[in-house]
Amino acid sequence: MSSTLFIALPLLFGFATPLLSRLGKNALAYTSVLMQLSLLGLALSLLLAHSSTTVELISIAAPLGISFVLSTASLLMVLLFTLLMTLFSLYYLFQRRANAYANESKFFTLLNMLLAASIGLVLSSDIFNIYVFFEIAGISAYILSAYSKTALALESGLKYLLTGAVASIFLLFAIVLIYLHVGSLNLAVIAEQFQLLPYNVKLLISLLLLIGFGFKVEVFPLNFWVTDVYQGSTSLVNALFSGIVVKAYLFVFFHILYLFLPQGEFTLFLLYLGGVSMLVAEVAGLRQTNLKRLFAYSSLGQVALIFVAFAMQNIQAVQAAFFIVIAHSLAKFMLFLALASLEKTEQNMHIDRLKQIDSPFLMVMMFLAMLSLLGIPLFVGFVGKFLLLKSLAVEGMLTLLVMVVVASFIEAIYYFKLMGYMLHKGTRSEKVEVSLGEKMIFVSLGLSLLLLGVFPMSIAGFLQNAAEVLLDQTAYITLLVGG
Amino acid sequence: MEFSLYGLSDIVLSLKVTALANFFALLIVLSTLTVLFIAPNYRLKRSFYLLFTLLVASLFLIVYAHDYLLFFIGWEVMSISTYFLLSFTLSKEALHKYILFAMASALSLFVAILLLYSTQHSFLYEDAKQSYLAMSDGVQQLFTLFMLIAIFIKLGTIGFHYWLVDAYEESHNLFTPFLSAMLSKMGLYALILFVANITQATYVLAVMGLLTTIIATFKAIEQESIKRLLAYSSIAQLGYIVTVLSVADGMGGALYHALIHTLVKLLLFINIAGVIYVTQKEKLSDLGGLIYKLPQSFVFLLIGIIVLAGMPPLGGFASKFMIYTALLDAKYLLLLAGVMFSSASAFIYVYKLIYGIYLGHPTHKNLEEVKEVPWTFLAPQYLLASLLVIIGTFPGLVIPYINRILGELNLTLLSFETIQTLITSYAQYNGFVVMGAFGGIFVLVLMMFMLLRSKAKKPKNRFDIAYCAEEPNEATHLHYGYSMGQELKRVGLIHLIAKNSSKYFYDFLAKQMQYFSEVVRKIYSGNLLLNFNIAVLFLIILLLWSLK
Repeated sequence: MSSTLFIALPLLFGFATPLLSRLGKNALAYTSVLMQLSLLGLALSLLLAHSSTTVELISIAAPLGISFVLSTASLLMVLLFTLLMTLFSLYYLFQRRANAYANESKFFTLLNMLLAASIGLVLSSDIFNIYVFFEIAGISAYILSAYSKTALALESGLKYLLTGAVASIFLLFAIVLIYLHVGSLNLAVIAEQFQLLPYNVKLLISLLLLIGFGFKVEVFPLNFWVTDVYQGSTSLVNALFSGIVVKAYLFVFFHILYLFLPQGEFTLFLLYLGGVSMLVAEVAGLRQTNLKRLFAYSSLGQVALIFVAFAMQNIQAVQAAFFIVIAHSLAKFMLFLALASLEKTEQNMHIDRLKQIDSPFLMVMMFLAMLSLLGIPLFVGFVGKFLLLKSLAVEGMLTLLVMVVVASFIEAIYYFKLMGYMLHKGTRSEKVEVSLGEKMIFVSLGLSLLLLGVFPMSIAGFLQNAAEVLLDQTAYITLLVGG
Repeated sequence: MEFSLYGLSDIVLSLKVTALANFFALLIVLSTLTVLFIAPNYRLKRSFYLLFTLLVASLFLIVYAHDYLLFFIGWEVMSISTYFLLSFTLSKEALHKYILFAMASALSLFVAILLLYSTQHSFLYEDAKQSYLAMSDGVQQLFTLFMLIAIFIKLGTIGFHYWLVDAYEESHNLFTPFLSAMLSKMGLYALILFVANITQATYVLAVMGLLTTIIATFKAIEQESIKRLLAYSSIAQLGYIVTVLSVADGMGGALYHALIHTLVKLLLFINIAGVIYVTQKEKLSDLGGLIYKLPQSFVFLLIGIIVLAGMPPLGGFASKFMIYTALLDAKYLLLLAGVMFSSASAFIYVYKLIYGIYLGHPTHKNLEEVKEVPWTFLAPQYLLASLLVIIGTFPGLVIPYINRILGELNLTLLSFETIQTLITSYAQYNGFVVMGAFGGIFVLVLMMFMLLRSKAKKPKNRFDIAYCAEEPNEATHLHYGYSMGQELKRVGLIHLIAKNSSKYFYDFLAKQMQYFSEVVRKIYSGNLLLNFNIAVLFLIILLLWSLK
């Protein structure tokens, strides 16, 4: 039953927050850390206990119709989410004294709903459940984005809501069509019968799914809302958006794609879509002067890179995709937490502010994260990019290879511009306090970037296993429907 | 030693000790030691030494790697650690320029090695030739293009040198010798690997090399700043090596010249680091007449420029001699003429260098209180200068080592009899005799000079210039070095060279990129109506595309 805990526990905690907040001023923050830690421990123990590909299958009978599959692939995502969430709770705990959220219990409710929904997306094996979690994650994200109630925040929340609503209409329409033609909502059953559908229906459903998820996986041209949302939301929330939410959507989108279209009918189209998304995002970010917006563009670029890797639909590339997912989640999480540390004293996020800040520690940490994002060797970002480009070269996709490399170069232009600002020689007037606890979080993130970069073999086998499981359609069908 | 990486069985990496690797490793050790010798004169942060260690480690990784992946990793780490080392002194613009070119170099190397991997699924040097031959024609050209861009940027070949001059000029005086002597050699190492293992690319190398030597030589002549002058000289010297690598038997001359260039650039940059340390001036026009104050430094610079110009008694001649004969051997007479032309023109800038610093009449009064540079600057110069003199006297000394490398690369060996002579198919050159003759003449002249020196007193006041028709004041530039070489600009071709066309090109490129970015950014302006319209348009295109 352990996989239900991943969803039930955060939801339960989320709705218990009003009660918990009565226990004392700090009760909520501490119990949250405790709960996240126990989830992380559970995920780790599952990882250590099971070497087989399928860890767990849970089906609850017809009237509820809920079924979860905890495979190596989804366990990887759950592990990443719980790890980041634990670090997030710890960070919040440490910086809380300086900058506690107004109305903390609501904040925690939304946070845990977001976590539960993200994990639910990854684990569900029923397309209607996926829709439900899609909505829950969306709604909590809209509110979190508008949480600080400034004009920008409200604008971003509204934009998020509008685009999210459009996305869910498309998704719902796709689900209706699927149910009409297949008569089931179970992913395995649909996967089994999807190939038999008439071409036009298949095409329409695929397009509707692409558009529905396209908004959420931030693919061009459906990603216009992203920069505004990142600018309006607080950096702390952005860390969750780019570290957890988008990764969950990416995973579930390609999970469905691999199940429905195992032959990869749209591979070429998706690959170029990803390549164009990456180029457009990086070019647009070139002249951006607001840090949050800039990192939003960079997120778009990186997510498009992951999109390309997943769209390749072979084991090496999907393994590379998992590497980039991990590298990007850790590095962006770190960068946004660093921004959150800067945000404590002042809201101004113009890049000129980097010249003023007198905090060598934060600078070094941001350097580490940026170098990893740029794919410099010795950092985990390189491993993912290298494996992906190697796979592209072996498959003979030279145009795409050059596209990705050019986009990486453009990304390097603005990241090194930022580094130039940080290395600026001159008087630095603005002191930034970073407490010991925050430092520990940054150092552990930075070290993990380096260690995974130098010893990627420690997780390569696990990631390859996850890639194999994710791509194996027949095994998934056998598991759920039976031989 | 072979091993695999990332737990993936399809990637085999290898480290191997070869004669070529040892040759470059020796240069690394020599440069590192001499540079660290002058370090105590500067107060440097601990992070500087940390980064410097990382840099040296990456250089060793580059030379001892035996596959292109480890080579690439070393290359990137080298670029990034150099970035942070340069960030101590460079202006923001120069630093950004450096890193963009370095990243462009690294990424094109990345594409090139991935193309190489795509055919035979191996990064090893042994398989490189096979992989190259297995490519289709178009991919071969693409591969050569990316590989050469990566190498040319590191070498600072003309057109790709835009970052180099500023980086050399503004880098820390401690670090400039290392930049010039070592980091550009890594580009050379990559080029040697490319030429020896994969393909010769004759015409590209010949044309680029020749253009580099000629243009950089004339750019060097017009420079006012000492470090800029030497930066261009560095580019020109590497241009000789690129040119000679374009011919089949050029490897020996290339390696010989690489050795000489490393030694002489260390000597020259340490020399001027000493001058800048005691005078705090970096422009030729601000210096002058220092021969009386810094006699030892003067002698070392003299040795340095004799080598740089490739004149007979010292080591520089031996390597130039080998380059000339290699070009003659291959019947590339036009190339030979071009190289000789730029080699002769190099006399102008080396003369400007020594005249500007040590001779003539100083403009500034405060140069009169200058003392000889500290011994920490002189000691490495003694070592380097004596090495150059030894190689000049015994030019055959290094031939056996070069032959070992050539044998390993399956190239024809150089002929070798005694260490005093250098033998090529056209001529034989006995360094010992030449050095003896020059030494004898030098002693004679020195004795005559000592005997016949005029007894007239030196003027007390530096404005006391008897044959000056006007009365100079503090603002008058007394030093001829002030505008030396400017008159050459009247020559049409040289005027064209002096016009900084690469600056215009890259500025244009940057501006176009910005306009483009400005247009693309409109997509993300936050106008939902516009965005939804774009999305609907996209959807329609998508539908049309898929129904086709």
